[in-house]
Formats: sequence, C-alpha cells, structure tokens
Amino acid sequence: MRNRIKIERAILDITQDDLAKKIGVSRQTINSIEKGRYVPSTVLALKLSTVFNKSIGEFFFLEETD
Amino acid sequence: MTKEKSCDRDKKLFEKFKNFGLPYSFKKIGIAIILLSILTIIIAKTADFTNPTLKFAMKRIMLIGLLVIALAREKIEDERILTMRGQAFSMAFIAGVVYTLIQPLVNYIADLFVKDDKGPLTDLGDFQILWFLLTMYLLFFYMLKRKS
Repeated sequence: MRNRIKIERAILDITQDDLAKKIGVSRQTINSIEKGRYVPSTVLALKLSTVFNKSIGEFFFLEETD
Repeated sequence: MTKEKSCDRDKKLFEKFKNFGLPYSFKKIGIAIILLSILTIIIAKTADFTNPTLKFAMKRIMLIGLLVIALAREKIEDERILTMRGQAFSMAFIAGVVYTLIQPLVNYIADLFVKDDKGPLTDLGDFQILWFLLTMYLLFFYMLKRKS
C-alpha cells in the first residue's frame, strides 16, 4: 500500500513528531507508516484523516499486489 | 445474572487483561532483578557455596526479572508496538515448541559422541523452557522494533 502522508504533512508544515503527538502515537510509528513498513489500523487512518481534513482514500492507495 | 450481563463482564475482564502492562520504569527494575540473580549465582559459585535452594530461588527470580521486562510498556505503547508484541509472542511460541521437541534429541546425540555411557532421553526442565520462551520473546520483540 502506497501513501502520501509525507506530502500531506509537508502541506500542513508539521514534523513527524507533531503529527505523532496529534494522533497519539510515537514518531517511529509515523516514520514506519510513511516508509510503508507499517499499515495502520482503521482507527489510526481515521485519525490521520481528521488531521489532514481529507478522506482516507486521498492519502492511502492500494497497489496491485494488495 | 442474565446472559448479556455475564457476556459484558467477560468482555470487560478480557479488555482489562488485553491492556495489561507495567509502567515503562519497570524495564530497569527487571534488568536489575536479572543482574542481581546472576551476581548472586556467580558469588555463590566463587565462594564455593553450593546451596540447591539458593540456585533454585535465583533461577526463579531471574524468570521474574525476564517477565517484568516482557510486561513493561514502551514509552509510547501504540498499536504498532502491540502488533510487534503479537508477532514476537507467536514467533517465540513456535521457537519454544521446536526447541522443546528438538533439544532433548540433540542432547542425547551429543551424549553419544562425548560420553561413553549414554543417558536416557530426558525432557527439558521448566526453567529451561520458560527462560528460552521469555528470552526469545524479548529477542524477537527488540529485533522487530529495531527493524521497523
């Protein structure tokens, strides 16, 4: 699964640490999600959606292998 | 008690158990317990004080130390950490079962080559199995944490 969290974060001009604090996870978790090493739960995806003010489908994309 | 109330109570109990964890500071306490037990064993050995009760107690204390470290939460215990804990538990469980099945056989074969009088096939002790399970769990958990 691809994502554009890094881009969304850049648009809001917030660091990984800021985003992590906003949604109550560690900075390493944000880093893992951005790098595609960890796929977040629906709850976490919805929290990201609230922060970015966008629907989940706008920053998470399924790949052919998914 | 109605069926629904009983189900609710079980659900709450399960949630409590699922979210159980010791504070982060307990990690250091666990390490201190393990070091203390190892030091006691070493001192007892160097002083030629071989007391089976002391050895037995220190082994159990070492297991308690490992359990305390395993149960201690991370600074931020989020869903990624919980996922890794689950993965580490399942990997440690499989490794533990394989170890318990294979190790007695390995010991037996090694005895055939090293000793003249081969002993009977013996099972592993509870300490050895629990120590292996807890150590494997911690090893896998920190390995996964470092990788992700």
